[in-house]
Amino acid sequence: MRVAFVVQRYGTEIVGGAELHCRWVAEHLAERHQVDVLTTTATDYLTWRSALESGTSELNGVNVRRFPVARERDIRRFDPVANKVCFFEHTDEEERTWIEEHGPVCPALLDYLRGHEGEYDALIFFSYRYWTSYFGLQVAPHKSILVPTAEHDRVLYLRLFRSFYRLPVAIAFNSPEERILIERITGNEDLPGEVVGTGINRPSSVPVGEVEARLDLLGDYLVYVGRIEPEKGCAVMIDHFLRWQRETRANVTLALFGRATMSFSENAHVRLMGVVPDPEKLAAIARGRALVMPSRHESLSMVVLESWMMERPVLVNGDCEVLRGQVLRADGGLYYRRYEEFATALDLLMGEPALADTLGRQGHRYFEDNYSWDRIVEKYERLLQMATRGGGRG
Amino acid sequence: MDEWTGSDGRVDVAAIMARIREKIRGRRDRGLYTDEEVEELSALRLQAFADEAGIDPDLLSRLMAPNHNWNISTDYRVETHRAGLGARFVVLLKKLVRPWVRLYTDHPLSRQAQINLYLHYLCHNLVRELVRLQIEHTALRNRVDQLTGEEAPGEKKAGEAEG
Repeated sequence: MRVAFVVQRYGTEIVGGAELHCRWVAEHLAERHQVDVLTTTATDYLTWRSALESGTSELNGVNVRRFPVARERDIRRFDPVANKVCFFEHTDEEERTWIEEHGPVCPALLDYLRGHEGEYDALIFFSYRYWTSYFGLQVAPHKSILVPTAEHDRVLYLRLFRSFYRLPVAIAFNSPEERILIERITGNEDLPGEVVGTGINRPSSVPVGEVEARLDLLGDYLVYVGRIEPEKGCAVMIDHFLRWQRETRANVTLALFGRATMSFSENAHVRLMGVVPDPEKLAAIARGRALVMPSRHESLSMVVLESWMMERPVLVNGDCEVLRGQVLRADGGLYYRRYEEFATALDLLMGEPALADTLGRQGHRYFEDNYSWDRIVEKYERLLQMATRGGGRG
Repeated sequence: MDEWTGSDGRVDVAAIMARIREKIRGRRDRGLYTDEEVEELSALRLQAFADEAGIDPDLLSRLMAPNHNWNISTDYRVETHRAGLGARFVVLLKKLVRPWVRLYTDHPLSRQAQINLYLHYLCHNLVRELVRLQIEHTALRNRVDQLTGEEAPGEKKAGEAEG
C-alpha cells in the first residue's frame, strides 16, 4: 500500500507533540508499506521560517518531501485575528483569515497533493488546526484519515472546522475524551473512528544507574518533561511545588527537562536540566519518584506514556479531562485540581514509596496493553483498510 | 500501603482521590478553605454586588466568565435594523464613513478597553482577597473562642485551689 502522511513540520530536530507522534507512526508503518511524508521546510512553529532544504530525502526508511513555506507568520497580523475569532463575535471571513495567518501556508504542498493524490492509497493528516491539514484534506477526503490531536481550546469551536470534521473517511483519536469532545462540538458522531494514540520508541539502552552522577541529580526528585512555559501549566506547578516544599520542608527537587520560554528562579529545589538526549531523559524519569504533568490542554501526553513505560507514576492536572481519564483508566498515578490536592497527593507519593511503585507498575501494565507498537499498527491497518475502501464513499 | 490495596491486589486511584478529598474537607471544617472554595465564595459576593447594581444578567454572566468577550472592541460590525434597499444604502454609507470615525474613536476605545480590563482584575482580586481575609478572620475568632473556653475551667480550678 502507498501511504502519504501530511504534517506541518517533520524531522529528528522537531521534538515532542504531534510531529514526533507523526514521525514514529510513519516509521512504524514504513516497515509494512511505502510511506511518503509531505511536509514543509519550517522547523519553528511560531514563525514557520524556512530552515530546511526543499526537495526529497530519506529518513529512517521514510521518503520525505519538503515544500517551501510561502510566507512566514506575521505576529502583528496573526495576534489580533486570533484574539478576535477566539474571544469575540466574528464572521466566517475572519475565520478564513485566521487559518491563512495561522499557517504554515504551503501552496506547493497542496499543488503536489492535487497532482499526485491518485498515486496514494491513503492520506493521513496530522493536527487539524494547520493550513496544511485544513486545505490538504479537502483534496481527496474519500481516502483521508485525520489524526486531530485536538485539545479543549477555543480554536476547536471555530465554525470552519465543523464541516471539515465531516470530510475524512475516518478519524484516529488520541483518547476517548478527545473523541467525546470532538463529537460533541462538531456533531460528527456518524463518522467512523478509533481511539489509537501512539506507542513510544524505547532507546536500545537507558542508563538508569548512571543518570544520578551524569546529571548531578541526587536524592528524591520529581520530573517534568516538555516545554517550560506558562501555557503548559509550569508557572502554577512551580508555585505549588515551592509552597509544598516550604510547608513540609521536604528535601525534594523538581527537575525540569526541556526548553524554558518563561523565567523562573532556580534554587536548590527547582532545577532546570535543559534538553537532554532521550536515553538520559528516560533514565531520569525511571530514577525519579514521579512525573508531574501540569498542562490543562492535552490530547494525549506522550511523556505520561514514557513515565509508565519506565514504571513510574504520574501526578497530572485533573482539569485536563484527557489526563484525568488516562490516570483513572490506568490506575497509574494521581491528579490534582487545586493546591490542596497537589500537596496531599505529593505527601502520599513521597511518604509512601511502595504506593508510588505500585502505581508505576499499574501504569506500565496499562501502557503495555494499550500502547505497544503492535497494537497501534494493528489499529492503523484497520483505518487504512477503511481508507482504501473509501469508507463507502466515491 | 496495604490500606490502599484492594482485594484484587490493585491500587484504586479513584478511591485514593476520594480519600484525598475527604482529608481536605476535614481541613475545611477547621476553617481551612481550598482556593476553589474561595473562588466560589468570591463569585457569590460579586453576584450580590451586581444584583444590587442591577446589571444586565447577560452582561454579568460574561463578566464572570474566564474570557474577555465582555469588553468593548474597536472593530464593530456594520449593521442596520432597517430592511430592503434602504438598509443596503445605510450599511454602505456606514461602511464608507467608518474609516473616518475609527480614526478618532480607535485610540480612546482601545485605551478604555485596557482600563476596563485593569479595573475588572483589580475589583475581582480585591473581592477575592476580602473573602480570604474574612475566612481567616472567622477562623481566628473561632480559635480565640475555643482557647478562651479551654482557659475558663482552668481558672476556676485555680480559684478552687486557693479557696
